[in-house]
Amino acid sequence: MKKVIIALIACIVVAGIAITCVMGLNYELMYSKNTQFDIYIGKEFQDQEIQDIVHEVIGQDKKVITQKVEIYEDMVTITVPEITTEQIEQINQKINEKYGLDNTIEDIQVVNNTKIRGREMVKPYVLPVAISFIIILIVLTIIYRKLGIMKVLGNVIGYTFLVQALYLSVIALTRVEVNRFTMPIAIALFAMTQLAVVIKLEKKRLTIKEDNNSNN
Amino acid sequence: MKRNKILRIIFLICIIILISLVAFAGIFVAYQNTTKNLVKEYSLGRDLVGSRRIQLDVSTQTNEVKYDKDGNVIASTDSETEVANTVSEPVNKEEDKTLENYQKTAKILEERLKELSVEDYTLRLNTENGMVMIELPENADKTDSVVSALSQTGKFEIVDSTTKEVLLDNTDIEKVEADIGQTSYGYVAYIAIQFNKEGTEKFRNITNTYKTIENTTSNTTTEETTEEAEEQKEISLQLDGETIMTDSFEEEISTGYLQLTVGSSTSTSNSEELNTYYKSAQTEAALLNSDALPLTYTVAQNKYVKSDITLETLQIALYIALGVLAIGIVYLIIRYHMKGLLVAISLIGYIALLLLTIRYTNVTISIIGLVGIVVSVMINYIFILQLLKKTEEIENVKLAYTEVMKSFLKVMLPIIIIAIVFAFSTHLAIFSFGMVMFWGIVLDWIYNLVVTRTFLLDAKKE
Repeated sequence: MKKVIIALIACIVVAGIAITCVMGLNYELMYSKNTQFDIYIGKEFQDQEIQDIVHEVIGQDKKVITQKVEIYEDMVTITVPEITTEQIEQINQKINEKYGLDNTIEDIQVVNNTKIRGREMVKPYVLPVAISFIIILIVLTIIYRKLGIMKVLGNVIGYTFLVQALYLSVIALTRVEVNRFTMPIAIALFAMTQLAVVIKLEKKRLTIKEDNNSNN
Repeated sequence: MKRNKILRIIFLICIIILISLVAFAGIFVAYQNTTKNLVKEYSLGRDLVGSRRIQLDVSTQTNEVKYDKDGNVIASTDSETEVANTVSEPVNKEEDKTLENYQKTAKILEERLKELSVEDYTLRLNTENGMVMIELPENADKTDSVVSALSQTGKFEIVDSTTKEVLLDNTDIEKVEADIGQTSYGYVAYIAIQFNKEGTEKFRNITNTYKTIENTTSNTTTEETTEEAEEQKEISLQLDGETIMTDSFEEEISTGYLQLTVGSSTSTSNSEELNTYYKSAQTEAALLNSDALPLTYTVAQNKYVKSDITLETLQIALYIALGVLAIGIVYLIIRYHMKGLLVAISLIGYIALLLLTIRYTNVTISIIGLVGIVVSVMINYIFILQLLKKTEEIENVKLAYTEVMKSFLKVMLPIIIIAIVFAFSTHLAIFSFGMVMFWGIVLDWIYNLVVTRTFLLDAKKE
């Protein structure tokens, strides 16, 4: 059973790495290449109303993000994967009709954003994770030295990288969007992995202690 | 004895209910025809609330450049020289609009953000037209000065105020620091420029060349001729072509150290006015510590944009978390009966106290901070589960508690290390996680010792 689980995990990790190399990860709209444009509404509005109008023009299958702008929330910024000038004009017209406005296409500021690379998302976390990981390795090696230094290092490093590789592979295989929750979940998994490894090492230590006591 | 135990349990439950009401509901009082919550609000990060969006475009502005009859450029301050020709020149030459310069711009902007201790940001560079889009946390005190630092070119020059010859520039600067100093008439906010080796030598020469001259005049009663006063040579400090100050030097400066006052105040060191000057000084320091931008940029957009994570999304997440918590509590009650119920009540009190602590210790909660809260609650749940199991094995609750706490401390060591390391990070989201975990662990120890252990002691004796 254990061998089956190990084989399954290995397959998932290898497949995940392969998919990542070939197709890359599926990034959420905010992190991928997109077009943003702002329209002044001048009054209160619901995000859903604007999203419905945009979907009418560009299609239901395209992802749309709307955000209120400024403290008075009287402007909307619309983010879409891509859009033509004609479509922006249509959206503007529909919003004018709905809210009784006179906005022209010249009033609309359109910005084409480049994608945010995965490494930019990971960059802020590298140093704190690396520092804490090194300290954990040193501390656990000292506390559990009687179990064997290489064994302790192997467990900590092995499980940490395995869990993160599995997480990345699941994201790649299931094509779940990489978004602002991806890194927090990775950090939570990192923390819980350390916890689990220490519990395992502690159990091993107690077992050896009991064996030594019974032998004596 | 028995009555005391029951009273103690009831008292603790009342305290927990009170803390929970304060944490989850708040304390509302009448205030100017409305109600006001006396409990401090949560400080939320930009991923939950919103951020300042700044769009920097490569400037397409033009400057009017005047030439004299010999084809020399006439300075803007020179009104005497006859203008032979006026040409409109773009501030950014076409040959400078290269990918290399765009990438250099992005790098310099990131350096400036780091100088200003802004680590939580998103920067996107459009490599086709050099447009830079930056999202920053909204901070009433800081964001505007950060925007100012980002949008300026940052070209620093010391020039001869007459000939406009450039004597020193950004490449001669080693380090710039902003500080507040005390003088005989109050406090000053200043920037201290330390030039590098080459710059120090150049600056020494400048201080010797542009010395303050004391005028000599003759005694008209004698037959000595009047000595003509030497013309005072002065230097101008310029930032992005604008003169900050014009001055000469009383003595040679060989240390390569130059102090420039940004503003002064006669009030105490904590005055608002002085703080404003200090912020300006910090902005100037951040500008000068990084290179000048290779291109001139304009701020095309500077807006506050609310987060796309709506209240509804957060409510859904909250309901899911409450659902999982409810399942956990039901399990405790079914498995451990009265002890389980008391420990479940203790768990709710822990959550309430953790949330209050986060509010009052000014921890800014981001998405990863919320994950930290969930992880803290999970760890506390695991602890009380271990404690309940141990109390079934060992009759003595105090001994069971000590044993579980000892092994838990060992097991929690990596989490403690992560919490402490992350709490030292300057990146808001990572700091948020670290501080939440830190307070979660501290409360885990103190709260469970005071409340959970007491519940189990009294419940056992019952």
